[in-house]
Amino acid sequence: MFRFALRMAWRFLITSRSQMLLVILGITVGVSIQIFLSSLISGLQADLIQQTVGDAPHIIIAPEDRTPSSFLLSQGNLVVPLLASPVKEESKILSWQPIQKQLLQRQDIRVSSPLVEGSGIVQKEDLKKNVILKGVFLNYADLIYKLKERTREGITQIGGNNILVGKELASDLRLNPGDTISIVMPSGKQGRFIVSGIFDLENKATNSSWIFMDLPTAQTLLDKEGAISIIEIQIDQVFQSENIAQKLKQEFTQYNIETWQTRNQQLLSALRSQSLSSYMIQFFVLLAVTLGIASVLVVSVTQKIREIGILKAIGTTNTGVSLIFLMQGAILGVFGSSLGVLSGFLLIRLFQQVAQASGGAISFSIDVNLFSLLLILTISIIASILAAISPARQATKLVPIEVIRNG
Amino acid sequence: MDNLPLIELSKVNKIYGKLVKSQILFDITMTVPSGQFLVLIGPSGSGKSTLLNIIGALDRPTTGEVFIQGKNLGKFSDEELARFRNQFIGFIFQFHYLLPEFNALENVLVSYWIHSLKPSKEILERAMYLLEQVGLKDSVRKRINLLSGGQQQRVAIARALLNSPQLILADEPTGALDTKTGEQVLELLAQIRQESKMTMIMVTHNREVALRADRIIELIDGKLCKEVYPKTVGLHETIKILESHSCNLEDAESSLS
Ligand SMILES: Nc1ncnc2c1ncn2[C@@H]1O[C@H](COP(=O)(O)OP(=O)(O)OP(=O)(O)O)[C@@H](O)[C@H]1O
Ligand SMILES: [Mg+2]
Repeated sequence: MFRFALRMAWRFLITSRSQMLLVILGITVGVSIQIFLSSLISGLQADLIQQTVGDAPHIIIAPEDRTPSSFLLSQGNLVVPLLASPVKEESKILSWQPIQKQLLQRQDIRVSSPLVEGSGIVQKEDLKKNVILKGVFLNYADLIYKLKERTREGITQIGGNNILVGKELASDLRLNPGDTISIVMPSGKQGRFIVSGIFDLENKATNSSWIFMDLPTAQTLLDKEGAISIIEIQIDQVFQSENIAQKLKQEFTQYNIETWQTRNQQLLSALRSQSLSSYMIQFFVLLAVTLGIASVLVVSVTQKIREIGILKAIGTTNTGVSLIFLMQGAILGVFGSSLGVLSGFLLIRLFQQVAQASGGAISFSIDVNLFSLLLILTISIIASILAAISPARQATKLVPIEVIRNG
Repeated sequence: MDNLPLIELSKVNKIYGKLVKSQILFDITMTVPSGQFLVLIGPSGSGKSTLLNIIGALDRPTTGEVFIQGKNLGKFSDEELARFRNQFIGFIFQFHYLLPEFNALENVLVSYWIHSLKPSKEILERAMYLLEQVGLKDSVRKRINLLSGGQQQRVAIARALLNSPQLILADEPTGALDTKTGEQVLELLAQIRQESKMTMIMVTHNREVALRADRIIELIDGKLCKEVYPKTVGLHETIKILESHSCNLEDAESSLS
């Protein structure tokens, strides 16, 4: 019966070729818009997330009751004591080496980097600036912050008295590689350092306040011999962070484990509402296409009354007759959606070329996600079949003797 | 089982309309033995087509029962009736109802496609044979619209015969054809009947055709009025009965008076 219905459906469609082509065109346009839109949105979101957390830790391990300053990109809360409130005794991680060792062995973690941090004041001649000191091991920290890649002047070196300063800080204090500066701590401690390189982390607040130095040097300067402030972690899939954090919580029970999400609620909810509006648009596009298919098939039932009557008279069951129309929906859906996928691809290619030609004005790239592509394809084919339900019903109701009597 | 009639109608009534009821058939009770060539005649609007459609399982009686080979059609679901029509009955209508989307051969094969998965080689050969038999050997692949009325009706006949039905129902098969082509089509049907011993019920307004039947039944105002067996009573007697103004079937007479 399927074979019969398919054959009839096909013939019915190709005898009204222009109708069929118009419907297919409609589906094609709808599906390509859906594919383009969903790729655009997911590209945009991936780019936003990358910009937000691409070069920031995804998870941090901190001692209890400590607000990690690393996430606070603008001035950093450790500057706060200088402004008003009383200085709090900072908590620290004393036996961090075994933790770091364990973390390095884990498969689900790309990099873990111990960090000693604190605030200080940089002085060069009569210029002063509040800064955040970041004591790191360069080989680990580089995997998170890509310091080597992002050193704009000088060399990426932090051994001994060498430090790296941000682009804005350098211009504020008129620093050049090789210059010497002194850093004064709130405790009164101070040291002299050589600027070996100037980095650009593409964030103004960071560039104007962060200073990277060797971890042991920072420990001495901040009176934290043998201890660190936090461990910063990056993982491969940013959205796996909550899962992995959960596992880390079970392993390191006496520490606070935080993910990037807890600090980026606003971004996440913005992304969510963006996705929602994209789904809404896609839904209405789908609805319009489906209604288009339905209306054409409804008209075709009236056009084919005679044929349906004959087929029923010579023994086609109601199931068979409705199958003919469902098949027509399916054929239209398969052709239209496949063409839609193709032209969606072309649209995306076109966009990529425009983005390239724009010379960086369009900073993000869009890529086709196979899963959402298959999802759109499946949904639109199913919708095309659903669109045929009402015409199929109509065909079922047709009484063959009425057709025969009226010629 | 042998003397079981092929078709048996028992008190079949047909009423159309819900608010304004009009009764088209009144208590039709009759049997048709296997192999008979029965012709239904009667004035326009007397209910011939209605009766034929009920026998052909295209329509259901309002009351009463239809048995075919002892099976009560009233107990069949719509789907079962459709399947039954396809397997058991060959329809030939006044207007050649063919599918314009298909060529002659495909139109014949449609009867088979409806309920079968794969068209076998034998069925293709049978379709070709039937088309050859109805004289359309050279038009097998022609689109239906390119055939003449007579040719189209012959395609319809071939289609009706494809599934080797036991019963052929023809409602004014030559009604839309000119006399000459009509005659050819009738000859073809006679030939097929002789070869296959199929049961055939034909509605016609053509006296000549009626006289060739095994049995003639005249319907008047939805009631069986006259019944003649031309081959038993002879031509003269048949014509005499057909031309008389009174019915020769009892229940019809009693309800007419
Ligand atoms: N669906 C219907 N609703 C109401 N009346 C109907 C319906 N179908 C048929 N009739 C009526 O039933 C009567 C018998 O119709 P039928 O077609 O059986 O006559 P017929 O003997 O075949 O006539 P003809 O020789 O003109 O073909 C007619 O008066 C017709 O108007
Ligand atoms: Mg009629």
